[in-house]
Amino acid sequence: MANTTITGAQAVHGQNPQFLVETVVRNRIYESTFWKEHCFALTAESLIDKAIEVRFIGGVYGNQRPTEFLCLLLKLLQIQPEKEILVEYLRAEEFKYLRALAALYIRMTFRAVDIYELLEPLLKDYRKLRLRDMSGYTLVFMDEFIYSLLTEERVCDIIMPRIAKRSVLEENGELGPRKSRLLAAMEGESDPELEEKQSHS
Amino acid sequence: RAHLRALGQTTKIARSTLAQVQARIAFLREKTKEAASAKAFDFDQRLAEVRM
Amino acid sequence: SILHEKEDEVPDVDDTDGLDPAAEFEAWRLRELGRIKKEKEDEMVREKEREEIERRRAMPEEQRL
Repeated sequence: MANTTITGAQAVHGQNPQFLVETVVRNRIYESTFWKEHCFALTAESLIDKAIEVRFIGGVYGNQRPTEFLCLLLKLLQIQPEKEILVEYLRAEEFKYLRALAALYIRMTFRAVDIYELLEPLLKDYRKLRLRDMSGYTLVFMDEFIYSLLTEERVCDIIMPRIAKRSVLEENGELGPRKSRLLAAMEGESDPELEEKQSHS
Repeated sequence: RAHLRALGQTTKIARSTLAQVQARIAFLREKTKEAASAKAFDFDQRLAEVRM
Repeated sequence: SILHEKEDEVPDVDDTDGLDPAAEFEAWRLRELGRIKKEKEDEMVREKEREEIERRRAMPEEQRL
């Protein structure tokens, strides 16, 4: 029962949210020590403490061992916190591994428009993240990780649910063009975020 | 599950509210800030000692 | 045990930010430029496809195939 999805959970992409993590990987997580010892009674609140202690992102490594990052992702799928809570995780910017976890969860479970609107602004976050996979540790940057969530079919050994292309949503009028702060700066437009900061200092 | 229920324990996980989550983040933010400034203080202290 | 030591090994890449702020920003600028460039190229491809569809539509029925 520690492995069941919370009562009253909404189906995501037409299925039990936990099934978004494929069976083989999911079973590896259920068998892992971190899952058994640290994830059992986690809530959306106590999960934060675990997420900020995470030292690397990734899916499985070594002999198909799941990362703690992946265990926490499955826990989120199990307890399905409210949308506002995920947004709050994302906003807690000093905790970059919590942010990365929230971004992955949002990509897997939110509506396409919300995914673009919430994740694209993070393309300006160039902090370092450790990634652990079969080949060992590597360094990735938050913006690269976010971009991979938006463009790749598989991230952290998880198949990303299909997402409507940005261009399609733009044509439907559901989404405005992506705002790159770099592009705005190069085209000599004023940067609203920067002005905001300067007026406060 | 029936067994736990028989023992009078709930099998339901309590749901956190947004306010609880916000409070936890604020608390952890303060805590890590303190840890960072403690480290900086330690460094300044050591440096001062070296100068003496 | 060896297995346990392996588990506790310290990650060999440093994720500390701000060690070289100028270089970190510059590396990001280049990545972001790459993304912007790719978005523009994709947009051009879509534009071409649209034009092609328009052109075919404008053709008389017997020439379309």
